[in-house]
Amino acid sequence: MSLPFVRVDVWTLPEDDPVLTAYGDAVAAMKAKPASDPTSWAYQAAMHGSLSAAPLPLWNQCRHGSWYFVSWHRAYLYYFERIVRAQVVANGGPPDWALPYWNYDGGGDHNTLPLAFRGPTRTDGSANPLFVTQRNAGINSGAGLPPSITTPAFALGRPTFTGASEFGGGISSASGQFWSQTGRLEQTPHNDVHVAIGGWMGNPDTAAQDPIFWLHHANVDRLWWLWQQHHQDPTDGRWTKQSFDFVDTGGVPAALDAAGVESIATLDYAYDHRRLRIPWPPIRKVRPLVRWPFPWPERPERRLPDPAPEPQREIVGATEQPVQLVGSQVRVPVRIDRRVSESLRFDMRARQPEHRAFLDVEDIDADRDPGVVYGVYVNLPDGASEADLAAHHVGNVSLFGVERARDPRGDEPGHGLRVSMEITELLDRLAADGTWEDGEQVDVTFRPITLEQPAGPADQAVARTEHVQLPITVGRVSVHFA
Amino acid sequence: MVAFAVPRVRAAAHPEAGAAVVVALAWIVLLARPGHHWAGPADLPQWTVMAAAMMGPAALPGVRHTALNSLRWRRRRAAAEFGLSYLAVWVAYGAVVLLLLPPVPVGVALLVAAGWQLTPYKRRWLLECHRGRPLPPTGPRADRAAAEFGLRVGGACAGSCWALMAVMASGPMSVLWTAGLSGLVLTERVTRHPVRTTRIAALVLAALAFAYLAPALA
Repeated sequence: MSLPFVRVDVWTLPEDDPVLTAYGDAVAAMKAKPASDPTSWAYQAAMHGSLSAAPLPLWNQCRHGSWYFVSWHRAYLYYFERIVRAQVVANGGPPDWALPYWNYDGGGDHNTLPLAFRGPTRTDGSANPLFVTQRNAGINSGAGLPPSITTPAFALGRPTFTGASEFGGGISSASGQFWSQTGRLEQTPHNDVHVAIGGWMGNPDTAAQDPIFWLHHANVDRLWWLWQQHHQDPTDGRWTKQSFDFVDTGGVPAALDAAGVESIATLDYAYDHRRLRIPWPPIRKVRPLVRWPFPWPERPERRLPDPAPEPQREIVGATEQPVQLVGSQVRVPVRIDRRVSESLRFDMRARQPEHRAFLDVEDIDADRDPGVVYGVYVNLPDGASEADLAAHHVGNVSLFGVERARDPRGDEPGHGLRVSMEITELLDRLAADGTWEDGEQVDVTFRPITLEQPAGPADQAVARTEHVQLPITVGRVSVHFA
Repeated sequence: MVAFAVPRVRAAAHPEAGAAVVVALAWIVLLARPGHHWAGPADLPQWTVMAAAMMGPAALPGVRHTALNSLRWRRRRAAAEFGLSYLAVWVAYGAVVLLLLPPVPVGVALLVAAGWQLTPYKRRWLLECHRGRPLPPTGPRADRAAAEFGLRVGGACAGSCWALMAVMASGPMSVLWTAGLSGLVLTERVTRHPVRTTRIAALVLAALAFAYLAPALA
């Protein structure tokens, strides 16, 4: 058996490494082909999404807000990589070429756009096919993506694949492009990085035209592979047997189902490291019993990994009115209904389950993506320090794909977006610290997360020019116990 | 207190069960009076029973959504508010049809229904039936939201299915027609491929229309 093609960390490569030069040359060659050619750059990008009024048959296929997010994108990248490799070989490049990945969470300056993608010219002075101007101001001059949006911890810490607050997303129909079952990996880092880079990357109908799209998705794919080392993918036939159509090298029609992409070894590629370099698991660990302000039943020790399905949830509180976000911090109280929590407590004592808490941000809508990622924090103290922000951060809200979600093409109804987060660990911690005294209210703070502007002369640090003032409406913020 | 709480947990698994019982009762009443001929506004109660039977199943997902998104102690109330306002839309439509519209031959009504299936409006309304809305937890806002949600889903459902129900108003209320068209409404509502299903339904309706109209034209 041949050695697998190895996808390497782009930040381990020099700017003029043959892998990146060959990628740039292939992009240029593919851009020269007509959009009707399935191996052209325009066609490949349009398979994800397109603004064309007359789309070709395999265009507009991407799957988001759905448990098919990871399987569809792995297959998409696999065929794209094969098509680019064929082009690289035709250009006289390395025959073992593989797509690099951008590990923006790798520390140091790895959170900035890789050098080979930043400038209009390459080191030899020729035009740079990897550069596009359609990115947020600051990105091309080295603004850093903050760790709160590049972190894989929210995703990798989930024990289960299926569910909106779990790793891979909730069950949705296989047709249609945007549902509201976004999983934790899809939201953070995937959606948030799309929005933070902005420009073409900020809209699913243009995102894949930016050459960095593919390195971003290689990283998202790598995170799925890492998670798979310790956890179980769905065994449900609706997921494993769901096949999607693509094109292979030479424009030949091809199809893959989730069962066919679960193992990257069968797809003949590998990542350049054997396992995650941070201790596993990153956030979820067995804790000593702590008491919430309610007299809850005792909680049994948590098993790891936990293949159990998402528990049946029970809504215990929600906001009364929609919340508007317009680029500044907003704090929203969610009252926990005493009658519900008391009656739940009796039920739970009867059933002896572990108690868990979830926070849902629902019906998130805007005319279009304002290009802002909001961090979601629970019970954030006034005048919060960096440490407080990190300790109370439970997830992010960003609006990648809102244009398509509210105005869908296919079989799905129009809808807002939804982000669902488990907050059990945090409430446990707050209860143990004695900082969640009454237990009758959860305060949810939405706080815009800004890019880390590059060091150096102030005139290089370009402020973001995205439409921060476009209002986002959050229909409801709700707390659920299970 | 414990005994009070436990049955409510069971109800939470299928909070739409109560509405399903109402739909089943409507079917029993309907089956007891087959072949009913419409005779104007006096038939509005009969129409209401038929609307509950035929359009009720399509409302069950909305009832479930409303109940699961409401606090447990006001779950039934919210579900009832949703269900009644949904039904109110269909009663209002029935009043318009029975009061104002002249009787239409079944074949023509079928042809109109088949044509409507193929319009982009049909698709838009059908998808609109699935759209949720935020439901506040307590107080008058919660009541208003559940009722508004029912009106909106009912309105979308009427926009989607008005032509099918006009077929029901155009002929005697036979069990076969009622069951067949109800099945069609429900299939469109729950299928994973609603757009394709509306087209297949259009074909079936057009074939039926042809069967009715051909003898008249020959």
